[in-house]
Amino acid sequence: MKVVKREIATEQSDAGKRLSALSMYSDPPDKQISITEFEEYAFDRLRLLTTIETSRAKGLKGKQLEDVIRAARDRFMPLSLTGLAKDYYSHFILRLAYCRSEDLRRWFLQNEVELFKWRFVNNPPEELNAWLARNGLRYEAISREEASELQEKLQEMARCRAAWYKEDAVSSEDRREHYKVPFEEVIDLIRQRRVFVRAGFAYVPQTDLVSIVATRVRAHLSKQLSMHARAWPALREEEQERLAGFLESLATQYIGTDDYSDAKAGSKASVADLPMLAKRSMPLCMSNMHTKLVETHHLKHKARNQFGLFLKGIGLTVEESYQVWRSNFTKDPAMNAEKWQKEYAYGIRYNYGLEGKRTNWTPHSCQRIIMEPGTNAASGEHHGCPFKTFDEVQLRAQLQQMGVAGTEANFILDKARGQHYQVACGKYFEAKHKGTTLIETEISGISHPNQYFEKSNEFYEKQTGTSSEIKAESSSAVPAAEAMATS
Amino acid sequence: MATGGESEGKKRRINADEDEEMPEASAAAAPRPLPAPPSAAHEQFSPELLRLYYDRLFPVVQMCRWLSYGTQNEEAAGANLLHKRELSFTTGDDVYIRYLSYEEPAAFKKDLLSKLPHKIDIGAIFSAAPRDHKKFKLFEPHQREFIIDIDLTDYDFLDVDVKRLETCDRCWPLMALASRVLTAALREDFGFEQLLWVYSGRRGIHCWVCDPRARKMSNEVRSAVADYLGPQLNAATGRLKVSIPMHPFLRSAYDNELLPFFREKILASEASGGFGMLDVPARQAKLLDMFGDEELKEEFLDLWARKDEPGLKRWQGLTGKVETKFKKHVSTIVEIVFTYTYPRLDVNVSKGMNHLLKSPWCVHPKTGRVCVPVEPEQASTFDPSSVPTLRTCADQLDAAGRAKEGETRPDISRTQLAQYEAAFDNFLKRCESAQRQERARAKTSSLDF
Repeated sequence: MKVVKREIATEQSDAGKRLSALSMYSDPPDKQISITEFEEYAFDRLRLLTTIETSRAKGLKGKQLEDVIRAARDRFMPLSLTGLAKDYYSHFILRLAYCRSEDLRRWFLQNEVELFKWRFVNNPPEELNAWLARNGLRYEAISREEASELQEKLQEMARCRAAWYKEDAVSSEDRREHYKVPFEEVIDLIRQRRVFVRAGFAYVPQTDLVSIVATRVRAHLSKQLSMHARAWPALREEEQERLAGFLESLATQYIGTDDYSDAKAGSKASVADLPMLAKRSMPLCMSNMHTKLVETHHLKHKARNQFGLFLKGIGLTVEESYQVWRSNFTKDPAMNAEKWQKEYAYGIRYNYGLEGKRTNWTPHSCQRIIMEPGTNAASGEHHGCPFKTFDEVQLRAQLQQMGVAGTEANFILDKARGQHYQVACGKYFEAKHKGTTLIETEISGISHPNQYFEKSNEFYEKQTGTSSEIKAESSSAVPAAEAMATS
Repeated sequence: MATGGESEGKKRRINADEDEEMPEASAAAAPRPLPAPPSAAHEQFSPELLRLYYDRLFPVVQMCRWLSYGTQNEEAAGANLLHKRELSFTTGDDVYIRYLSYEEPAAFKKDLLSKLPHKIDIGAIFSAAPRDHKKFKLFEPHQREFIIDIDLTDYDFLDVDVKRLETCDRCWPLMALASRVLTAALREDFGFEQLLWVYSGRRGIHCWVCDPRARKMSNEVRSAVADYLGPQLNAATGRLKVSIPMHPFLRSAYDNELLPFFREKILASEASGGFGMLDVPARQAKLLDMFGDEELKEEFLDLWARKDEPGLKRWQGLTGKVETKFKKHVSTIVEIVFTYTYPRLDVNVSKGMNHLLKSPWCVHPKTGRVCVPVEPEQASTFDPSSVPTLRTCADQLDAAGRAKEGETRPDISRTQLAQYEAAFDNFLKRCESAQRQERARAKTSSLDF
């Protein structure tokens, strides 16, 4: 790693000490920061952890994964004094935001530990020793004398490990440092005979030490999170006016850089084009809800909310939205325009900020849709992320219906199984937009249904070279009967 | 298995105060074929001889010294490890009595004489005195030697009749090899020093690793160490699974012990004290089957049937051919050597704290032989057939008693057991000196505060 060597005057005035963000985060901060900083820090850490999450979801490993993490670290938590402060505060802020449920805790733990591991292996060994000692982890890198005494055995062991892990020689060469730990602490390595043992000590190469330390860090953090979870209700009460809302929405917050609250100028969808767009440019969650709306003439509350805001995001005016919902709902014999007006118009006007709190509500991000619990198709609920809520058979059938099959479908199912829904969605996009490479790029997956929609439009614009106004292509034109009735 | 692999099928079991289940251990004691006792053994073993043995020869004081690990003089009774140690007896009519415990040698001896156990097992050190275990809500094992149980019956390539004592004795070199290989690993790799190896009285050997660190290992750690020491048998290939390149511990065992043993013993003819594994077609086929290659098997069975050669020469021919013609089997060669030589641990015995294992100084009821300590350095020259039986001990005692009336020497020193008792005593002294050093260290480090 590029070590920033800089003289800094800290309280201990450790002149010449290198900056390092490696931390067990044992002591919570007690200084004041502004609300703006609070929010900015939280967002930046969330962006860093999200990058790690999506990169891992894509299956990046080794050097590739390290490079991505380094780039994201440099961008969001640079190795500077202010960066370190941000790292420190933001960790604790996110702990609060992610302590509230098992799902959130798992997500946070996984990515925090991954970040820790990256920092750990990228720290110079001599600093690691001091760090380990400070944190009461008794792992000392063995002395040069001991290393040369055991050289032959350790090299023999390295050859076994290389064969076992199918490591390339270079990467094992890189981290030759060995740590001496009581064998009881590395029983998995002992069990599989993957470590050299002498006189009751295991000689753990740095590549494996990280997993031992990471296990400890994970245990520590996990314990802290459950303590926070117990303390949360009281804190929530106290922070009702100030931070509670922010913290509670953080996990489902859309953190992309683009704003999808309103349709991009020019890429405005029209009611008449909806059936075509549903097939061509909507993500699976939205096209699914659209299909259900057309088929059953109804959607339940959460789905109305999700799909309704999405429609707003792709440029439908409040009147156009009325038109879509009313025309479909009133196909149900039990529904008529008057009843509809009474029961459902309010919700649409609410979404557009015309009722209640009069907020111009933003379309839900993927994070939020994924975290939304309890989608249950059997009881007629169709909201949520299909990559998460559909079972495998259902998802495969749905993909097939949308013309996605074979290896692409397998890849998607595999990612869905691994809970990497946004990457699954990214692959779905690629499959539907031949020639695009979405998941290999920086954005790596889909983070917002409206992002999916806009990417799709961009794709077709480039293809047709026509104006940005969305035109129904002849190839995907839909029978008039299927087109939505205009009232 | 709990009872050192010597269990003879179903037994009636009684706990010190009845009705408690045996631990998981007993379930594993699947019935082995009941060995037909050689008629001579009956003369070597009888209740009368056993009474004499427990009364005059069994080293009850040393046993208690061992199991106390230097805590005999602790002020608090609860600090004496002996008090919390489970012992269990199997009586002559196969009743199994668990959760016995004693506070001093005299009580132990008294119970031995009244119950005359045909077998004594040693269990764990518990949180409380086992005989009072019903009184405590929390009664769990706290410490236990790391134990290893090796039995000839687990060496599945042996086509010798392990029910016959002479053939078991002939196979002893495999046990000696096992003790050498495992001693090296336990000492060099894990740093354990206080190893007590014990002849199991018929066809096996036990090891008690007594270092405090070993005694304190959790079940998870025990399990990991057992797996480290014992490569798995791959049921599909019939070979022990060894990844190549070999782990340094296996590699040095292979170079220093296994390969030489394979060449000098496994391949050597029975006439010259070997196992003659390539001398008869059935054994040849068994070895060749491990390659899982019909072409290779046919070729060599045919070749060896046509020409009479020493086993080692055949092996060299085989390995030479594998290296040129059957290259994919090169690593199989290593695994075959392991399969024929590497100690076959009963890992289940090693993995749990709560397993019982037959005590040293027991007498094997089928052979009458005393389960004597064996120093691994002397294992190669140890001859199981020379181990004193109850009968020989009694005879020696009789002879000595008549000759030296009025002497005060302990009875055991008048018998052949004396040399084994001396070995046990040496082991105890090593243990105790380590305990003294440990206490001294603890004292200085506490002074640092």
